[in-house]
Amino acid sequence: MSGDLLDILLAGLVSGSTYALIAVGVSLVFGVSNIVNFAHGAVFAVGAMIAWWLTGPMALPIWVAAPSVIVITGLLGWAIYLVAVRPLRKAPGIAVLLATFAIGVILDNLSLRFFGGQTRRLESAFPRDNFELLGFRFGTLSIVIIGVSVVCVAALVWLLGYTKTGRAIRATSQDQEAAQQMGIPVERIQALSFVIASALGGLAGVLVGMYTSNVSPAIGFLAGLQGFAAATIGGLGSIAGAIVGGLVLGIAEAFGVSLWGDSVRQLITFGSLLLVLWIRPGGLLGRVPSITSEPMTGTFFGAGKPLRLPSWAGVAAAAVLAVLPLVASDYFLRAGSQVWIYALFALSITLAGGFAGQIVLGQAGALAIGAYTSAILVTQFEWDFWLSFLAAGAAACVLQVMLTAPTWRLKGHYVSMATLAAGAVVSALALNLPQITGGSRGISSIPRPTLFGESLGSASAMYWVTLAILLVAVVVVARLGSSRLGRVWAAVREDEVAAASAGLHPASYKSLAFGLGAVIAGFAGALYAAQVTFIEPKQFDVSLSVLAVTIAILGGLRAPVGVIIGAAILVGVPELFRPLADWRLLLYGVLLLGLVLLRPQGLWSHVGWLQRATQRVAGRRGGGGGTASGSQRKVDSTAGEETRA
Amino acid sequence: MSSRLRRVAALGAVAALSLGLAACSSNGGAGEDEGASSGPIKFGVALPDTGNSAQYGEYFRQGLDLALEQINDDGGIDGRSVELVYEDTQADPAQAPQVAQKFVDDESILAVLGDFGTPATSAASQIYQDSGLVQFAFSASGPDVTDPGDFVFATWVSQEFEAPRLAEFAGETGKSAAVFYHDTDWGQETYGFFQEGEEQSGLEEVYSTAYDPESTDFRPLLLAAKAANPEVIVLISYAADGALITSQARELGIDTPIVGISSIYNQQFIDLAGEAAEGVQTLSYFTPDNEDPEVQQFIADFADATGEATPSDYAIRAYDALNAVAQGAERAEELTRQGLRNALDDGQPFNSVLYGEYSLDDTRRVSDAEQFPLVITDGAFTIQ
Amino acid sequence: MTTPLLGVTGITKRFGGLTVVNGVSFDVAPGEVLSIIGPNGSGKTSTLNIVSGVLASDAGSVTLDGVPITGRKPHQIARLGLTRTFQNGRVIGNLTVHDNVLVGLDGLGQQESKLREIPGLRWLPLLGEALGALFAPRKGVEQAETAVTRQLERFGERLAPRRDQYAFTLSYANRRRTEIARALVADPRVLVLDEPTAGMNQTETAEVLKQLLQLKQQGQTMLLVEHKLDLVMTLSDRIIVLDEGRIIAEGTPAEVRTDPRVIEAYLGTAFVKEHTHE
Repeated sequence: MSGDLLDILLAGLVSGSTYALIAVGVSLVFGVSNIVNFAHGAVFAVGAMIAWWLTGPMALPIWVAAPSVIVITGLLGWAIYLVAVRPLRKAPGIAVLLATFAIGVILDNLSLRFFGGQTRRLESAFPRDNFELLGFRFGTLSIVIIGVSVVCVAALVWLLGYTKTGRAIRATSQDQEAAQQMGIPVERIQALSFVIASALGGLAGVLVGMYTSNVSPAIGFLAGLQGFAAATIGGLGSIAGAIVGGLVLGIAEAFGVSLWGDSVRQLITFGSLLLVLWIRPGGLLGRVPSITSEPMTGTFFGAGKPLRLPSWAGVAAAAVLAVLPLVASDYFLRAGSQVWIYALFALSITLAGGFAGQIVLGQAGALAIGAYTSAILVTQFEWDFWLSFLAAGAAACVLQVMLTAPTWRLKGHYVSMATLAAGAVVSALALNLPQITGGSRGISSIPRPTLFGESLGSASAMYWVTLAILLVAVVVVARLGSSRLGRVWAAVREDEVAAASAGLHPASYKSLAFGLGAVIAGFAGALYAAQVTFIEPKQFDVSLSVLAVTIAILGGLRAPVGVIIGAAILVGVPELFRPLADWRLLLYGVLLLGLVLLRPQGLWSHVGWLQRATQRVAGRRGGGGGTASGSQRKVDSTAGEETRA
Repeated sequence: MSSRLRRVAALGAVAALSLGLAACSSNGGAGEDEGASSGPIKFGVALPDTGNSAQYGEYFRQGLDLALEQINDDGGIDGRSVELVYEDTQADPAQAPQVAQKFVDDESILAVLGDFGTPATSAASQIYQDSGLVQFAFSASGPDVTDPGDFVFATWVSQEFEAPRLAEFAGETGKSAAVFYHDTDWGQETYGFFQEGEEQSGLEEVYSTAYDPESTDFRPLLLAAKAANPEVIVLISYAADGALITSQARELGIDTPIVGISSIYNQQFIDLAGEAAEGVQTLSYFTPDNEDPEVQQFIADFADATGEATPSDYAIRAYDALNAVAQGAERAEELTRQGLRNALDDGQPFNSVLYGEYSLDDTRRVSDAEQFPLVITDGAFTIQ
Repeated sequence: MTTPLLGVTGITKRFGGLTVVNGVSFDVAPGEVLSIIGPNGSGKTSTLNIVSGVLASDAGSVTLDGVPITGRKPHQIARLGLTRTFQNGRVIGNLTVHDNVLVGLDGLGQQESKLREIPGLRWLPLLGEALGALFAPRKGVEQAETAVTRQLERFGERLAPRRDQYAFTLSYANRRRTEIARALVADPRVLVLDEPTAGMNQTETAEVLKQLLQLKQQGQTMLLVEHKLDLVMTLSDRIIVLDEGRIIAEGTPAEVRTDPRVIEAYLGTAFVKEHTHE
């Protein structure tokens, strides 16, 4: 038996080394630029596909193909920096995060269009099974992968420790402003980190693609997440940590999978990510994240003040939406109710992200809990839909609040990542609890809701029900926002230390905003289950969480009404793109990128000349005070010294 | 997971707020198409063009386009040409209802083919059924797929028949089996019936595991399987993931014989597994060695149209599906949605490449069909 | 001396190898104004941060009215009646002046519930707050408005006319005033001020001094860090002098002014001359 355990250990080491190779790039960019690069997985996949294309259809030898991939992906990294990072250098992390996410969508779909969707075989340049150690067979390729990882670390350690550029990189990673003042070309250094990281990502694509032998344009996203998890487990920003994290994750997965089967893989990946963030947020090798309160929202998304909608206009708009079923087609209404459900879902982000300033990336978890709760109660216990609807909100709130309880002392990116992991854990649990959730089979034939004995299955009935619930929720959220709690959330969002010194417990109020958001997401989940009539764990993935955030941001993060517009555009416009079938997701990516770059404050807000004008007037009256961003910066620079360690 | 925002592309509202009522009024007057009995006959196709399952959408189009071309070259149906209207669902159950509603609203559509997989298919069924439009599901294997009602048809032979046969077939190769099955509704369902078959045929199961078809590293599972010393490995897999398991098994030095279910019948399996594919056996409804002239004609036509010598299982199913619906339309007394449904359900046989001549039972499914034992030799599926 | 309202014993803070606060002890009696002075980097702000819970102490203890508050979180200490302002004036930019001051009541005006301190049950009173915000938004508003208005009027024509302006539009001095109003609005037992007049010109400083003296008259206990010695000397009952994290002198303004160690470390001889010849 010990021989078997050793086998599994070795298998874990080898697959862990592939995670490590991906994680190194993630960690490098984070260390230098403090950016979570969601496009890294896509670069990895593009590298693998180019390697296939060059060695397959183009019939080039691998010694030509591999360097070409490195050059191309390195240039790609530079392009990503120019398009998605540099224009946002003054913006908070979440903007860059979303921009890189958009780049990832664009790259994945360009690759899909160019190379086709099929899974291809990437011939390995090195044997995969020419060695045997204690009965475990592995190949030169595995040694090359581990070797490349080690060489990367050694090279980076040398670069960082012994060269001028390296010192500049380290200085930049510790304090960008100070580095700038010392004359370090911070931007060039950050661009360089993207080039190096992406070239490494491309190389990882070639090697890992050879190792698994199957490559397709779709492999990037999961690989990117695993690489990210590995980097965080090891300690973001630490190159050696990325390697350790990769190996730890690989070994944990190998043992878990061989004991309990493949379905626990995600549970292990994201469960361990969550545990690390709870217990040791700095990762195994990293420093405890220096709490230099990097506001995720701050002036960037906050700059736009929500437009005030006169109540007569609101009533009129609601009335127009409500009478649409009298004239519109069923297809329009069916799509419309889907938009209202997504708008309701995104409203939960308005609470947590807009009001309390916590950008949560795992809201699909709350939606899933709501959908499953309602579906199980309705199908197995024959509850009335509306009772299950209430239970869905309550269950989503309770479970999500418990799952995220240790999260709220974290800041910035770490909140986003911990909630992302929590959301992924929910969907992994749904997969691994087949007795309750039906596992991968999901729950099918979920009945349509009824109201006073009437079925709401028709397109217009679903439209009206979802619209009514959405409007009530928008009013409730708007009311909360303008209440005493809205004020408390603003204080917690903008200056946690000041809020605490005024007697407010920041973690409590963040949790409250998130929990109330989860109630709404749970309601949305119940409606989602009723609309789609079939649910399975895969529907509730990270992309769905990101969609909720982008809907909320597009609408204007603090404007509850904005979600209606955000959802109509992000969920409705792809419907308009339908005739363009193949290009649909690509256009979505471009739309998302454009949004983050051009109108980050959302549509439902005024900014620009109008705000500048009001500021000027107000500033004159107020005795020439600083601008909003000025005050923000001041607050930030003192946050470190005055924050409890 | 992987392809991002599969759902983003989801649904939606349409021009709603941007285009306002203009969109509504143009949708509102759909009734005029009713009398269009001279124009082309239109069928809808719901399939994944983008997203994770996009490659199956590509297979579908190969088969459908070939069938469409042939039908129209032969003069169409009752002298009217046939048109296909494709809609991308990404095989996502969240998007399927909108697409279904879109087809339902377009009164010129007489029937809809698709979707890929039971989840997306089932999510749309109720809408088709309620509106009285035929949903011809040619790639959904779930046992309850036709339950929503008499407008839903399914041509995938229930696993109830195929899976026990696979168990028996595997039992001929070895007495004890390690089973790898898709962690999807299809895999779970098939595995359930497979277990029943094991009992009947006395095949001992020494190891079994569900796996995520998108996983890339199966070594831990294979090592666990190896420790159980099976005499045969059974794959309830699709081609791409089945090939990956096969090649990783061989790399680990596991040379146990491998038997796969009919879905691995795909040139892709051989392309991806390479050398390791040699000797893998399967039971398939289709074999290029079938001497039926129709099958031989199809293989030649398919090669002409696509340049591929071995059509995939999915392309053949799509090809057969359009032909079946066209045959139904030929037989229909009156070419309306209801008329087409009645014709498809009239109990008369259909001609197909995959199953030969078959008919639908009273649950509107194909009850059973003959399968051929195949083995991969010299990079090709050959009859045993 | 009566029981101290605030008792600080041997607090210590190390950052890496550097000890920034080194065994500092002092008491503040009810109604007393105690000032901490000392050169930059002598540990004044760190001392305030430890007292208010923003920074955790490595040793020693702090009591408020006999209740130990060492290791408590800032919001708990604030609820026990110790509020503070910050060196750089931390107002909430996207709230109006009026709302900024109200935030001071939001934390302290809530009913004290033991449930709040129990992690698992913290949610129950929170839920109550949410329901209250939705269904009884007017509850307690009148009282709160009175309190806020009283604080705004404390600063004469400075804040009252600007009550509905966003805080980010305020001048620096007005931000400081807003912050003081926020700290005062819930009637704290101890008010901690970190350089309340930093960045203000002479006129403005004199104005703040007048307002602080008024507070002192009303019996407000204060703990103050300040660089402007005129203000410190006029306002304080007692002064402690920090240098490199240690107390080097303690006493009434008159005593401190003449203490040779203080002169050497901090005041400089010029200052003493100037002030003794007055």
